[in-house]
Amino acid sequence: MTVNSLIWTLAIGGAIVSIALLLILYVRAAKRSDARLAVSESHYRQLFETAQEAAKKAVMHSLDDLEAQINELRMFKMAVIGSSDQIVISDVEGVVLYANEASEKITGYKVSEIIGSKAGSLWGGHMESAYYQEMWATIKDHKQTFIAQIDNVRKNGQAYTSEIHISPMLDDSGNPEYFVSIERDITREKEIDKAKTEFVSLASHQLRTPLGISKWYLEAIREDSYFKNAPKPLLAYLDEIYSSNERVLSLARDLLSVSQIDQGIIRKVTEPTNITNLVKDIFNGMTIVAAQKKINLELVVTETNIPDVSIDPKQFHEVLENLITNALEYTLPHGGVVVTLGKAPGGKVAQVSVEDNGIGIAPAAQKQLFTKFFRSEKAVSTNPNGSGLGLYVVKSYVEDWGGQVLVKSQEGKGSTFTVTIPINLKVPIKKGVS
Amino acid sequence: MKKILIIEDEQAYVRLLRNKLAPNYELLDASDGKTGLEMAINEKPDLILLDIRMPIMDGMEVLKALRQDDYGQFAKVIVLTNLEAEGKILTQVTQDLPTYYFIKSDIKLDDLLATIQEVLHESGDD
Repeated sequence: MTVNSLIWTLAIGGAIVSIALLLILYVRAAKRSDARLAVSESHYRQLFETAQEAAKKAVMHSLDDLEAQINELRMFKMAVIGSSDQIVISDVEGVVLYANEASEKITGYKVSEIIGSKAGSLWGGHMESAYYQEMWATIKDHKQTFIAQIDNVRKNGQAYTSEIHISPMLDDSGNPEYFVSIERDITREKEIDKAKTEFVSLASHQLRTPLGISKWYLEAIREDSYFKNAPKPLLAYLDEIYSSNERVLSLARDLLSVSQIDQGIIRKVTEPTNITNLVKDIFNGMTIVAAQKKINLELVVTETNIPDVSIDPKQFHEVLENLITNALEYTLPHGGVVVTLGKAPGGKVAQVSVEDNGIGIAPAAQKQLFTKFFRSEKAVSTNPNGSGLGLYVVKSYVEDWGGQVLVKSQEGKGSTFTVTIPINLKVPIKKGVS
Repeated sequence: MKKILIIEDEQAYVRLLRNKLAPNYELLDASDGKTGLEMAINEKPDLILLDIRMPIMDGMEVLKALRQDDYGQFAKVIVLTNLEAEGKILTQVTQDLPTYYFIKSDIKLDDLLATIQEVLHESGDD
């Protein structure tokens, strides 16, 4: 064997061993990575399954959520669609995005006609421009709900009255994004109310004719010379009939005043009036009643220089007579009533107060005192015949001339009613009639 | 003797006023506005007592027509009604200047009679 061949043999043998070694190494390495792969695969599968489970759960959950939300939305939509009130949603420019079915019923326009139009442009526009200015200022600038009555006209030309509420829906930065307008047709309610008021007015006018006839005939009988020598009880009977007739007349008068106040017609004939003289006249007229009831009625004038005021003397008469009558009615015999005329602190307002030391008014009753037909329990038990209208009329008249009615009272101690009259009334002076 | 025309559809009022006024005045009456207006223009009474709510022609129309007439323009008229002088009626009536406007059920008969006497006295004796 040559050296060469030995080298070759060794070389080839080495190569073979190397290859074998490499093979072994390779196989071993392969085996190891396989195992590793297997481990990671199961790991990932596990992970995957967990994720899948979680995802499934999440989806199921959000599906439930979504369903609940959809149901809620459906409910709201049904409420909006089915509402008997007209509901219109518009963008900030007032262009209608949505109108419910009641919109058709109330306005007479089809929903398809309403959507895309300017809200209210079809049926509205019949109020004064100041009304719409205030509306836009309220909802756009002040971002508040606008609540008012509005006169509109249906597609067929019929006028109707609605109560309208327009609310701005604000976005995250607090700016109006939508306007939601809800309108209720109150035409019928208003008609019924008007009919009721007119009925009362008509009924009281009709009542007055026969009562007025009785009044004059009773007066004629009472004045007749034949009755001059009539037995006293007979004359007393006549007086009872007369005063009872007067009571119904005064009720008819109160009802008329109330029905006119409710119709928004406060009849008045303003004329320059000397309050001091008027108060004295009214006071004098009440002294007989006070004497009959054995109540000491007193007049105190603390300010003699009250300038003439533009006022309806008949209204003022009704107000003061009402207050004095009440004071006499709710004061026990031998009690006292003081009427005071003067100026209020500051001097710009004249004031008349009527103070009694009668039964007084409970605090709870004081709050309701000026409500139509309200009578306190104590008042009912003291005088069952009152109508509960007098103070309502008083307050309406006094507020109409720009004054105020104040009441101070303590149960069992007495009450003071104060009426104020602004002195510098700039009311156009109409020609008065007697 | 001064002449008074009562334009009133309610006969109970007419009878009582007639009884009370008859001794001192010459009296005429009409129970609707139209007859009353004709009577006023023909008879030229010194005073007219005028109701407002009446058949055929109401008192406001009578007063309006009367004021267009030569005599009626200055005629003394006392409106006697049970209608409260509310807004519309009042403006219309006051435009035609009655001498007085009384609510019948508010005024005492004696006060009315005194006012009638006073109004007729002012115009001097015939």
